Amino acid sequence: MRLRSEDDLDRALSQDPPPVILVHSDAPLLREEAASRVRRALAADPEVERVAFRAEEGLDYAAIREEVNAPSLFAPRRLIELHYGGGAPKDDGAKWLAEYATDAAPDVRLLVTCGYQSKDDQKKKWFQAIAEHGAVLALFAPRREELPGWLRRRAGERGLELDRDALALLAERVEGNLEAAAGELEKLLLYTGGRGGALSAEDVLAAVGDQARFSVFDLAEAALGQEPERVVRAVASLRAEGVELPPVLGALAKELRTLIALQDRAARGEDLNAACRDLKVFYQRQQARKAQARSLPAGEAEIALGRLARIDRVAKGAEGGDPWDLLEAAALRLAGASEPPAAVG
Amino acid sequence: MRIESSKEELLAGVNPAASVVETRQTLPILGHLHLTAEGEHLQIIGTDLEVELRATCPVAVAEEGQVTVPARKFLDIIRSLPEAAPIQLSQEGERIQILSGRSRFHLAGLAPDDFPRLEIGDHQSEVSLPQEALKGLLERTSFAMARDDVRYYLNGILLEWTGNNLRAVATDGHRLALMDREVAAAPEEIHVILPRKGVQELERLLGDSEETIEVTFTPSHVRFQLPGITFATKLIEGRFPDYRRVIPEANGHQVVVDRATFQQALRRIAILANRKTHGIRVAVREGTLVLSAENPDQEEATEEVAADFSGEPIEIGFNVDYLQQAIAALPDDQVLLHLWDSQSSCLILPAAQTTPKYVIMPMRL
Repeated sequence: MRLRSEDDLDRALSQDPPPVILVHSDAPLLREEAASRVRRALAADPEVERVAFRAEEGLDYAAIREEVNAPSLFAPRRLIELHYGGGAPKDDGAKWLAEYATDAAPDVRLLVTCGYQSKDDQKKKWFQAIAEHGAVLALFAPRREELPGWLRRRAGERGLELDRDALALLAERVEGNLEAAAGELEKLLLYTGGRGGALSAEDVLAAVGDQARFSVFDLAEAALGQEPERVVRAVASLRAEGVELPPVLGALAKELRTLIALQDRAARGEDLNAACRDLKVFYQRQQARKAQARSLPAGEAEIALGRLARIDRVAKGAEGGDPWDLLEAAALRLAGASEPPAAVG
Repeated sequence: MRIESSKEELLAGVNPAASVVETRQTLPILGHLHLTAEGEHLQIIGTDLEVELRATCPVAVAEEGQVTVPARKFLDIIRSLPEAAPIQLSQEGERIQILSGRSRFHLAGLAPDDFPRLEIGDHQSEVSLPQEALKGLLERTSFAMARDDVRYYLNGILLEWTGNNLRAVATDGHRLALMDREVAAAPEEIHVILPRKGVQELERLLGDSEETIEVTFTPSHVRFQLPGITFATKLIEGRFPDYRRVIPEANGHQVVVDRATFQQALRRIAILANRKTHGIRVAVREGTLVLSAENPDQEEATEEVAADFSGEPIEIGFNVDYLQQAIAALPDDQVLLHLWDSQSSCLILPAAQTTPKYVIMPMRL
């Protein structure tokens, strides 16, 4: 059975709970919350005994087999949990799960959580076996444009009503960090004294700090995507987190080289789609890269590369200056801002 | 401190005291023994902060005093000295000298005042019982204790003293062992959970004699006074599960087998049991109990044991380890099994007594 949402999961649990439930997602928060739903539905009953095995403590399949096959003296039903973190069952585990799903113990409900399984991984035997005999739920972290909607739903569940500006602000502040987003909503709830209610952008500003988490790639995307405000926040965040400069410079330089190659090919009248494939541009970024190759003035990417080389020398102490300030200036120029915008965050 | 003694007398105290010292400690001093020379005795204390063992041995005291010595090294040295020569211990600052015959050792001690002691606390109730009674209770139940279970209250033995009945119960959630024993009445009802380490240490210390030992209970500790040795352990705080409701009435299909024969058959069948699940099949039919095992390598074993049984055949899967441990702990020559069906637990008893009782859940094969 394929479940489509958390609501589906609740429905499946409230009727005849499937013998094996798999939740796969790359978002730890979503995995953990789905596991709590299962626990709330199945293990609240004192007649149910709960045993959990976690990959970070090392999974001993002999012990798991023995546990699963040995009914409890004290509880007629059991919830057994196998948590793989962001990983997935392999070898012994995959083999055991494939066998077990076809022959589940009558007194046991087995909950498995693991990282997201790609379409190819879903063809694996263990996954297929659980999909056929149990229930499978994939959960995705909301994309950037979906985050306000996700926050609104989540806020609603807690009795909070955020207006559009408040949602946009919150989404921007917690960029890419679901745990932070969940934490901020809890904070907002406390801010209202636990009563919930309507909140404006000012309320959010008053109650919430800057929790955005930027990766080295986000900086490159912000610069090439002509988003100066986001560039400033990304540089500040990376710097504050103590990220080393070389990978930051490397990520940006790689994207610049790709752009130069694309501009080169465009100048020769070649097909940019084919060029993207040759250059192994990540599928989801191809549209953006093509547009950037067309819009960025010729020579601008080369200039930026030269600046990065200088920042590298500064970072290594060969030249004077603050490398992070220089990086911000270089990225801002790429983003089309002549002067740095007023300091943000 | 300066004393003289013999190897034999010293070892009688050092051996048990050193056995409670953990091989790895959180504090260096927990790897030491605390020695006190006073009057005509040497007192030796070892602890791991959960249990504490104090042994007293007679020695010739030339100068009273206190020291600590590294437990493992001290034990190894005393053990390997020759039998005949007297052993002298003397203190030189924080160093301790051991002299015997032509051997000489200097050990590095620590400040004896820093040695931690268990705070036993007040409100005590005292009882006494024969050594062998307590030993028997522990020995016949301890195998069913859980090991490192998150349900920490299962990692030990429940002792219940009601009137003149002392009961020991141990369970790991899949099987349970219970034994009753008539003893002198306690002044009040006692329900405590002895932790695993304390149980194992007691099993080593207790003998088969009728000699009585004094037991002192406080809300958080229990202390056992044996000849020459005082052993104290923390108790496990927590509620032991309601074991009474999982012990079935003795009204199942009854099977009686010879214990030694059954035990040998189990030992042989275990060789080919599935090494991952330890599962074997137990089938009873008119006059016979049949054990069978098969493993993933397609190897098989079958054992038939003559049994006193009449009725419809029954077949149940069991963890062979659980059966072996229960049968090994039974006191009688004849074993009585109460069986119901393949989903229900079985009850195992000695044929001629009502205690000990073992309850084992079947397993899925």
